[in-house]
Amino acid sequence: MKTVLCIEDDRFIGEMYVRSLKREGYEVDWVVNGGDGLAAVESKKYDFILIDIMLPNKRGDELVRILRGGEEDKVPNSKVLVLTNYQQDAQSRLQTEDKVDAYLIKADITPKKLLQVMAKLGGEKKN
Amino acid sequence: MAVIEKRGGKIFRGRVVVMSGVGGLVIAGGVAAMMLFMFEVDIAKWETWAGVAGVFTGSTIVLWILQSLAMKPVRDLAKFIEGVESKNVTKIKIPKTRLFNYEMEGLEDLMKYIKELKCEKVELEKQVSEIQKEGEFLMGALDAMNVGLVILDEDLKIIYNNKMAPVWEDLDGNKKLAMKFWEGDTAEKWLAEVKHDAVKAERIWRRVENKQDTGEERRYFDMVASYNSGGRGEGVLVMVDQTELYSQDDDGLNFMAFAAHELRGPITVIRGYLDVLHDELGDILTKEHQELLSRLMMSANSLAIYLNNILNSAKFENEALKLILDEEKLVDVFTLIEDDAQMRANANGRLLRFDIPKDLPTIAADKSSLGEVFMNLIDNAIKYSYENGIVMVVAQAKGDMVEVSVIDQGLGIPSGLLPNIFRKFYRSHRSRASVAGIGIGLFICRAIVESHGGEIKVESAEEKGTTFTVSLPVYASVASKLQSSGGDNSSMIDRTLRRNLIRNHGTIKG
Repeated sequence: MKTVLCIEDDRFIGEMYVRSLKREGYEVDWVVNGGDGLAAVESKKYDFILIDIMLPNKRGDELVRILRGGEEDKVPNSKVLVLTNYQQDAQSRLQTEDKVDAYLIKADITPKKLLQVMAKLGGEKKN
Repeated sequence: MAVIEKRGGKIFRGRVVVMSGVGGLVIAGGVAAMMLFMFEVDIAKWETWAGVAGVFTGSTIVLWILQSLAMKPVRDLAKFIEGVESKNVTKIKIPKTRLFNYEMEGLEDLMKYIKELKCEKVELEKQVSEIQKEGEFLMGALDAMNVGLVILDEDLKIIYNNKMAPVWEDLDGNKKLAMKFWEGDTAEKWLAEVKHDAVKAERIWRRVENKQDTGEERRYFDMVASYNSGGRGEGVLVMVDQTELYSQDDDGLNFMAFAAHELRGPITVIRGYLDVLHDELGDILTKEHQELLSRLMMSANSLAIYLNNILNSAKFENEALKLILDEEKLVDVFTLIEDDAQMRANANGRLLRFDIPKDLPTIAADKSSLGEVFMNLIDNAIKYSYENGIVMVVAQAKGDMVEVSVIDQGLGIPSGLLPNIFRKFYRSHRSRASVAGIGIGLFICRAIVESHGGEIKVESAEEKGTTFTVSLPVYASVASKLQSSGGDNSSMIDRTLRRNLIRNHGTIKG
């Protein structure tokens, strides 16, 4: 069973992803701020890490910088997906986009499409 | 210059007194010896000594007078030089005496020469002070300008910068530019490159921010750099402060970012849960309820498209529509939107047909942006056609381009209105009442297509229908050009794409 860490502070959106991911057969951990997200990544290996940009405690783009910005990729075995509704300016968006496996706008990506993207990246293929 | 100690005419006075005294002593001694040995004068007599004393005094006085006379030209010269030093040039007069003829003795020429030297010196000083004043004025003006100026020498070290230029000094006193260039594209690097292989070169950077390490205010510059090999300043950088202009952009973008976040939140939830419900209840709902659910989904999707159009056109206005173009298949672009488009066509009683050959060459595309373009075009075709009408989407390769046409058999657009339809907020007069929308769909379509290095065209006949044709460059035709210009696609496409960035990498975008 593939594992997913969902770092998302919005309750409705978090529950929505968790629900459809679990239905698809993923094992999902859900945390609601950047600091907890970092702690979770450090204590457990995930196949997928879903990161929101506007997060309390530590922003998502900063998390991406910590995980993938240094010389060494801290999560080489995970697929990192940014899921955000925040309109980053072009430059910081490109900088974030360069480091992750997918950069998705939440309003454009319904749970069904998210599952398709994850399947493409090597995730569960139930449907 | 040495300072003259003012002695007036008393120069050499001590020397003259001492020499006269010594001379008097010698003469008096000689007279005394002569009297003693030749005339055998009695030295015990007081008259003898009085005589010697008289000779000493007399000869000393005579010698003093003679020496003073001999010294007079020297003293006059000294006084003259002192006068030259202290007086206004016009008031200097060459002294005349009855006793000596300085003109004949050559002294007058010396004095005239000195006077001329003084005149020249005064003139030079005047010029120097004028030049200094001009220099100060210029420096002051340069410092007061709202434009930064930096001059570099042949080692590309900063030798001058005015106050406005963002420059900092390291501990060794070396000056450096305090500007945040994007992705290492620095002026220093560029100068070093052109120094290596060019004689003259010029380049412009836009919207470069200053570094604010030491608490400076944030400023934005447009910068022109020019390099001229062998010039006195080999490199000259001129920075125009555009803070006011670009911070407006920032404020605008910040507002858009804020608005996007606020509006997209609820849309995400609505679309997401509709998706979840559709997925989980699909089998349980009656056909009628399924239809209601699909209407909800469609409306939620429309809302998302409108929002993206608004956000994109705002971005486009700020010249910030940056797309990353990857190698993509056209079919994959349509996979993104096909379901939504079909649902919309069905709900409105139109027939939507796709004819996208699978073996088309790949294109350089930002998939989701292109998806938006075709969604907008299909949406238009549905809106402006009739019940039971057919909407066709067909694609074909044509030279280095892939052409995609969206064809309807609807109302058509009057030929007089055709030139205007890609303008922002433009909607044809008669459609205003009957069709929803705010008229930025086609504007953003054109922006996105042109950002791909493509073109969008329209053909229409009233009551016969409208065909929108989007042509996009085949990936292979632009890939080599992209690589040769290091990812910068300016060589490839005019106008819009110049400010966009094309790169080929594996990030999936949504």
